[in-house]
This record gives sequence, structure tokens and C-alpha cells, in this order.
Amino acid sequence: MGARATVSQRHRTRVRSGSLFACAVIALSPGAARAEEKAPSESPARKEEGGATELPSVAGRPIRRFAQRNVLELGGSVSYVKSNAFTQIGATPTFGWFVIEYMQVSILPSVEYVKTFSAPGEARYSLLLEPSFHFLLAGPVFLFFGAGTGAVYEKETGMGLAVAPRTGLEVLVGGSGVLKLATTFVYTATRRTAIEDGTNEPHTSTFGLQAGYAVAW
Amino acid sequence: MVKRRPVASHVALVGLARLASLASLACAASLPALTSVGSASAAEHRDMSVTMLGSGWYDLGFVALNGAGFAAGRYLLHPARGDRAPLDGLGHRPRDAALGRAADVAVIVGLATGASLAFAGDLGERTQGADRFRGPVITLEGALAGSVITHLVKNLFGICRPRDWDDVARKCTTRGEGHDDEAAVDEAHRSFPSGHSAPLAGMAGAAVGLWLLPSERHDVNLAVALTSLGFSLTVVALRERGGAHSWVDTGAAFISGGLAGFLTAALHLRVRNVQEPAAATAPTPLMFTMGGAF
Repeated sequence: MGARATVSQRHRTRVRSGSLFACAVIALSPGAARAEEKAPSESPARKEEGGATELPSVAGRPIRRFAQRNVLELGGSVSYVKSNAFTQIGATPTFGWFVIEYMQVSILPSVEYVKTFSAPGEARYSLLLEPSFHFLLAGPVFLFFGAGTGAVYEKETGMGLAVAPRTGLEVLVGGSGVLKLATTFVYTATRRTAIEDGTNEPHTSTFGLQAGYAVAW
Repeated sequence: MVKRRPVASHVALVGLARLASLASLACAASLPALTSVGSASAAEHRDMSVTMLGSGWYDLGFVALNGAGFAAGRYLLHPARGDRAPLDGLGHRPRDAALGRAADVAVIVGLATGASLAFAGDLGERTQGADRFRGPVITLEGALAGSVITHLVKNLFGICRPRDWDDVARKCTTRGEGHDDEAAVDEAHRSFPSGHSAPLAGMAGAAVGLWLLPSERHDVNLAVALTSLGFSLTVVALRERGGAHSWVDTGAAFISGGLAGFLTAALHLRVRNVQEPAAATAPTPLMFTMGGAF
């Protein structure tokens, strides 16, 4: 009796967990489009795009095209810079939301660790809010421009302003992947001056190339 | 980062500022400023900084003059109503409301971002008092100057917007405007140049001027310039894709707006003697310096 109960319980548990797994799979399956939400109407430019920019449905959300309203994006990039003077590694996760068609607002927190040959390593933290605009060039390729602004913090120089406009290409790959290639200009400034800091330069301007990957749905 | 250029380049800048001032739309308002620039030989012993010419009255005059031009171009003047096809020769393109909305938002976000960054940059440079508003005031004046030119020129040619052009009948209609009245007819004929693209180009031009013209360069103005430039080019593309303009319209607005913005920054140049304290710079009756390096 006890053994049968145990088997039954195991079976029930297995069925329940199997159902939960099935529900999760159905809910997250790209192919399972249960369009409870009304799909947005398409503009003339959208109608010409074909299927190249369609994103899969996730969790019952309607199928949308990339850069349509309410499309969400989660991704990030990592960086590694090695020069004669310093070595730098960094990571920037990103979360984006298309608030209106073609316009995305993203949050870009960033952590960088810089080690110079003459000084101990230092961490730099920044948080940017970036409005960006995206429009189709051809096929699955979008051109975008974003203007990130926010704050940067370093232990040595304190809190300061960070400005990071960037422009580049986004290529839709696979079902919902977005490969991002961009060129960026980053300006940071802190309130402390070079005189106060001795050798620390409070203003930095850098140009760079950036590659990242994100998932959109 | 502050970078000081050699004195010789100041002399060239003085000449550039004069040419720029003479060529500007606000030429009349700038004439008192020219008297403050001084001779080239004198400039060799001076430091130059971008700041507001005169007091707030100068700004008020600049804004009033350009505001009047803007209002005249927008509300008083009417465009020629011929059937002139879009200038790029590509004919009709449908109106795309989504792209148009994105362009509207880009203009607002771009102007707000540029002015805010200029202000934040001034704060970071430890400016005092009214000098904290040099950046945002000059960049916004550049945007206004860029906008004025396009709104005046729009009425000269009466070029039809791509969204309103009928390829078959070769006529300029109002089908892309969403309404059919006198205002729609005017709007359909105001394609050249683009009014959305010019303000951001003007802001970018002004920021480039703020970065290049003074003897001390502040890289935050380069950041403002690049940001505004990016927004401006974004709007250029969005307006063309949205059927509102041809590439010729947006390109012309980008160039003219950028030049107007740069000239606006040039109008605010003045020479300060580095050998003496700022207060020793004798103000003329028509130019009250507010002091402080930019």
C-alpha cells in the first residue's frame, strides 16, 4: 500500500512537473503564437519588409517585427583592450524597450576593470540611459543611432558625467537574435580637476568599435 | 579636456569670426559685436573665448529676431503653389505615420539631450553664474537659427512633398496631409528644405563652433556635437523614409542648418586679454561682457 502510494505520488509528481514543463515550453515556444494581444497594424514601410524582420512569439505575445512598438531586447557586450600602457576588460549588459515604433529606450549598466602597469587595478562603473532610433536598411539589416547619457563612477575621481553616442548596424540572425556592430564615442568627466588629482585626468574621450549580441522578442 | 592652441591661430579665428558674422542671418545684430574683436596684432596678446556677446539683451535680441523670422515663415508667408515635383526625381512615396512620429520624437529628444549635455558640460567645467548657461543657450540659438532659414526658404520654391505628389497627373495634391484645407495645401508645398532636420543640424553646428572656435577646447562640446549630429542624420533619414521629404530637401536643411548653427556660435566670439583680469576688459556700450572662460 505504502509502496503503491509512493509510486502514485511519484507518478503524480512526474505528471505535474511534466505539465509544468510542457506549459513552460508552450509559453516560451517561439512557434506557439497565442495572439491574445492584438497585433499592431503595419505601416507602409513595414509591409514591404517581408518576413525577414519578424520576431517569434514568446509567452503568448503576438508576432512582431523588429523595432515595432513593445518589442523587448536583452543582450550585452564584453570588451577587452590591451595596450602598452594598460589592460582593460569590461562588460555591458543591455535591456531595451521599443516605446514607439523605431524608437528604443535602453538601460546600459557597465563595469570596467582597468589595470595600468604603474598603478593597481581600478574599477569603473557607469549607468547610461540611451534613446535610440532604428530603421531598416535592407533585408534583416537595420541602421541605428543612440545617444547614451548618464553617470560614471570611479573611486579615484568620483562621480561624473558620461556621454556615449553610437551608431552602427543591427543584423537579425536566427529566430530572434540581433547582432550589433557599432562605432562609439565615449566622453566622461568628473568634478575633480587635474590639479586636484595630480596625475589623474578627469576628462576622457575615446572612440571605439563595439560588437554585441541581444535577443529580441 | 582643455587644449590651448597657439596664438597665431587666434588671428585666423578672428578673421573667421568676422566673415562668419558678416554672412550670418543675424548680421544686423552682430555688428556691435564686430567692434569688440579688435585688430589682428592686438589678438596676438589676447586670449579668445566663446561667451555671450553683451548681456541677456543680446540673447533676447537674437531670439526675438529669429523668432520673428520663424513666425513669419511659418504663419505669415505662404508658399508658391505650383506643381513642382520632389527634387530627387523619385516621385511619390506614401506617408508613413510611424516614421513621422519617430522623427518628431527624435527632434524633441535630440534638442533636449543636446541642451542638457551642454549644460552638464558647463557645470563640469566649474563655470560660474550665468556662464553655466553659455552652452545650452548658444546651442539652442543655433537650432533656432537653423530652423529660421528653412522656414523662410520653404516659401520661396513651393516644392511638393513626395507623399502629396501625384505621379500620373503630375500635380501636387493634399492626399498625404490627412486633411484637405488651405493649411494642407500650404504644407504640401513646403517640402524644400526640411524643417525637422535643420534645428538639430543647427545645434550640431553650434556645438562644433563651441568646440573649435575658442582658444580653450572643451571636449564635452565635441560630445554634444556628435550627439546632435547623430540625431540630425537620424531625422534626415526618418523624414525621407516617411515620405515627407526628398533627399535633396533633407540634405539642404542639414547643410544650411549646420552652417547657421556654426555662424551662431561664431557670433558669440569675443576676445579677452589674458594679460589682465577679466574685469579689465573694457566693455563697450553695446557689449557688456559677463566674464568667465567658457
